[in-house]
Amino acid sequence: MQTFDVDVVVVGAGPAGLGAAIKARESGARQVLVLERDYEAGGILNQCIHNGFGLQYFSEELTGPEYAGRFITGAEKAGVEIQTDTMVLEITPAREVITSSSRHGLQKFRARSIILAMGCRERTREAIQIYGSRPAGIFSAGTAQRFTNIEGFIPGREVAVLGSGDIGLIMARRMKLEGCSVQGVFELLPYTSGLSRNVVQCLNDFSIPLYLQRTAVRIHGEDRLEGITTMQVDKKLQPQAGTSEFIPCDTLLLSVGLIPENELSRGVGVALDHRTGGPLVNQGRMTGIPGIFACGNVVQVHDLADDVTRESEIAGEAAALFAAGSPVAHREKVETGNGLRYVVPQNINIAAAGEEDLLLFMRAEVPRRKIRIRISQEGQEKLSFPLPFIKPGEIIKLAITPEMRTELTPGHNLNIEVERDKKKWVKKN
Amino acid sequence: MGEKKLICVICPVGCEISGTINKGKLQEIKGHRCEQGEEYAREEFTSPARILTATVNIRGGRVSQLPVKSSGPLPREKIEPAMKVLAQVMQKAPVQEGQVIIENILNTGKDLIATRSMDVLD
Repeated sequence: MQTFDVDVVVVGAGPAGLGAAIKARESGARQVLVLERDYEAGGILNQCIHNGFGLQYFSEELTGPEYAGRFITGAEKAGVEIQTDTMVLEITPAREVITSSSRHGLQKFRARSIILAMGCRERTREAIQIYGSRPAGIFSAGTAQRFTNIEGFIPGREVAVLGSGDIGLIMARRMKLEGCSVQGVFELLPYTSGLSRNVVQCLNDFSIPLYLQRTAVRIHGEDRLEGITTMQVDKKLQPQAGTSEFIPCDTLLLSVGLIPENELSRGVGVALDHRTGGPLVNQGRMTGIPGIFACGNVVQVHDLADDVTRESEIAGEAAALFAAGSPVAHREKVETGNGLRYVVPQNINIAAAGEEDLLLFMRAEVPRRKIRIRISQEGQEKLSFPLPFIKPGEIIKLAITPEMRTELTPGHNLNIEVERDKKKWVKKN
Repeated sequence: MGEKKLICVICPVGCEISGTINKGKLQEIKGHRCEQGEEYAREEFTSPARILTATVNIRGGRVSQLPVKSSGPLPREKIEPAMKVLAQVMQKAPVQEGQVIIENILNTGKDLIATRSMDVLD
């Protein structure tokens, strides 16, 4: 096996991996190598042909391939090496990365630091256990997206979409534009988990109905899908008798959640957060194993590629610093209380955050209006952020500025929770 | 007098904006938090337009589909007719990102352009 020494090895050439690799080079890492299992860089963005990317990061509206293109060009300019068609088989705690590819056979890369950027994958029919037969015609929305947008196959004619995540909404529109009839989008919860803009532009624009608190309970069909039985669910998400309706369709697209892809992380012993499904990280996105970093959807499932990029730059810089011998250790834990599903990073170092804002990502448990997010230490309120509303479908980002951090006591853990805001909200216009 | 409602999609805040329409004319816009939101609502209430993103067939590249977009927003009612036009296209690789695939689609003054480069497969 050929062995190479590299400053920073990045696993995955999607937006997270490319963003981290470029930033690592800019932060002084000498050799940065990105390993990608697909035949080209860009990751899932290559099949996300819709627009809406880059509004926050580039202040202009780009499609997925265009957003990816900027980082592929950026990586070339920054002197990042990308090796495609290469599968990472294993990562060891000594920071060795073992890969397989038909071109190079087995290779071993000894890295000073490693950045995990494997992204996430879709939940399947099996994961949500829909009863019934096993005909053809049931796809995850992303698989159908790849067939349609890259391979040039339309997966069916009469389509139902289960789950109102962004990919489901976008694929409902895409199928409609390609001439399919779209029967509707069925969502188990009382609200969509996708962005508002996608509900407006993908469903309302095309008169595609959205059924809330209704889910698929049975699959029908022998060789090919013939339809699904849907039922209304109650508050406890249990199907209610007498509400079943048969929806004829030859294609069912599932947009029922994403799972961070952490097999490699588990293999090397990185501790995961059961709430995010991703590694526990500090503010530099370093995992529990020194020198192993993570960013993007492998850490937490983001809503926006722009946020992935911001997170990847944090990891890229920290990984370059680690490679150069100046790691940052964390001191305080960030814990979530009432109203929040998770927070990233889970560990921080108040004193070592420097001049930059410390960015906290968090996800709401349920939609709420007129609230404030309270940060306390040892039961004492330290910071408070009023927000007009929060939704589980839209990540909450709080920037803790250096000035705000003077309010915090180093060494004490942070507790973050949602509280009803008692102050009166005045309408702006 | 009629009232129309929409959710603003300019940014992820998602303001609920309402517009009062009197005799087919837009009278008042309420609920926005920024100027872009007001502009978006005005457009949306009077002449809604969308960027079209889709794919066209391509020959000679690594894959069979080339992603494209309209160079600017198309009137919403032109979206489906435009899909019929681009179903007829058979593009040949190589293509450069930004290259015009269909000029002035349906006389909208907007072009359909490639959103990625695609080399010829050796």
